[in-house]
Amino acid sequence: MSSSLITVENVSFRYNDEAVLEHINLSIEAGDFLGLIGPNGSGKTTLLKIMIGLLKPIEGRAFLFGQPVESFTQWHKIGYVAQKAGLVSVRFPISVVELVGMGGGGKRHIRKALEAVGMEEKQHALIAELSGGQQQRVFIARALVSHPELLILDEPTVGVDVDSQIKFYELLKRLNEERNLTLLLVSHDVSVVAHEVKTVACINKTLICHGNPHQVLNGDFIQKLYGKHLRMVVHEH
Amino acid sequence: MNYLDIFQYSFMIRAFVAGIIIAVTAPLIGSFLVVKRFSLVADTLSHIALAGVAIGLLVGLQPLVTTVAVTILAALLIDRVRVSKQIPADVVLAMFLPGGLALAVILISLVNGFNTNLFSFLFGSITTVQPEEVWYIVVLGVITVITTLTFYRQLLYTSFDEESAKVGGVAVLRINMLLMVLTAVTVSLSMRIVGALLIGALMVIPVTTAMQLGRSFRKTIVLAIAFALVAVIVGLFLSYYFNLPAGGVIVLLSLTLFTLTGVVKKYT
Repeated sequence: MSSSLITVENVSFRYNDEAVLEHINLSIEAGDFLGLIGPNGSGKTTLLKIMIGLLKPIEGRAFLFGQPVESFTQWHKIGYVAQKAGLVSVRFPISVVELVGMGGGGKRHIRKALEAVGMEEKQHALIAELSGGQQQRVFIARALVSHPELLILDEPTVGVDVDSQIKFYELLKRLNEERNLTLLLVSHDVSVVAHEVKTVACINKTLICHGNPHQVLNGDFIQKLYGKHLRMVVHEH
Repeated sequence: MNYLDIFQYSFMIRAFVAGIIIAVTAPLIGSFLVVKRFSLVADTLSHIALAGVAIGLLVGLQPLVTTVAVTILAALLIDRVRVSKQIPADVVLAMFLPGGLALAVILISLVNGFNTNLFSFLFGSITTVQPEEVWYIVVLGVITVITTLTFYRQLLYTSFDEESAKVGGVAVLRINMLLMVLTAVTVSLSMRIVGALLIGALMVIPVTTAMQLGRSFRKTIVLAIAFALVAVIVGLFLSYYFNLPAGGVIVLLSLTLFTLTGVVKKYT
């Protein structure tokens, strides 16, 4: 467990008596790039929130960097990019540099974070003036300001055009390889994630599969994950 | 008519000092409430503040002090109910606002019935700021501004995106409580000049006016304070010369500025 950045042991969760997660055991090691996938309502965002202490499991425990999440205090080690969909406050006049600065850090750290995501030229633009893909990069910059060891992203490509998605995954790969930044990404987009990540974990109430995407993602798994026999069409790009 | 005659009256000087403090603190705190989409809390607390005034009058204590105490307690209770009962914010406010007003109405009738004093508490008056109250207003106003600037980043992060702020290491529970206390203090300070029924307007309208022009959160706050200062200072002059309730004049001026800014922005 000592090299694991995130560990969940026997974690279960319920919303109003309906089981959302059942007995999940999972750990994420340093340097990994893990995609947490599953259909809508599969519990993957719930599991993510349990991992970072936003929700309490009804059973089981979660650990961050070897410490119980309830008593974890070294939040600078973690960068978090939440689901953007419901965030209406982006319409308020807030500049890019102000948004990144919310994560703390002086002007130099903010500038470096913006350079890392390729948004330094837009530092004085308003968030509301940016495209979905550009906003996403700014949110990533905010998460990078504290030089985290682990970056967590929840459905980061919702509302982002295809070209921006390609650039986005190139950015993540670069951060993973050049900075040894461990990445955890939650997505319902199976085909894209399968191509881009090193490890995949499939959730639909339980952990259906976990491992190298090329080995794990076969026809059987699709049926278990989605409950139907579906053909997976993979687009090369 | 010498327009500077107004300053020979000590009550007007007190009104201007209190007015300037309010014009700075109300939009400053209001900006965070607007981002958080929680600006109705100001109206709720201002109705509860009336109960605080009545308690002060009933027990013979300085009403401003009892108002600050009662609104802070109510603000913390509202936050507690919202978090622990998981009730949506607008529903919590919809319970506390009439509750506070009902309590105020009963307490005020116990004090000395409904008279002109009540009118000035509801709608503000330039003549009601007592000498000792100015000191409370100045000190509390300065503390509010300094506290807000000290915790500026955490307040902004929590108001903009509470979940991310929590994972970013911000103590969001405490910062939310702090924002509620700052709102309660601002509402209490503002009641003398603007009146309980209109304080919410002074915390919101200058901010929405500034949002039409602001190129950053910081600049929006500065502009909002500028608009509030214009509305308060001009409003106090008009209130004196035309014998009108200060709160009404200030709010109508704020709305005029909002409309004018919109028109100017559209045609430039």
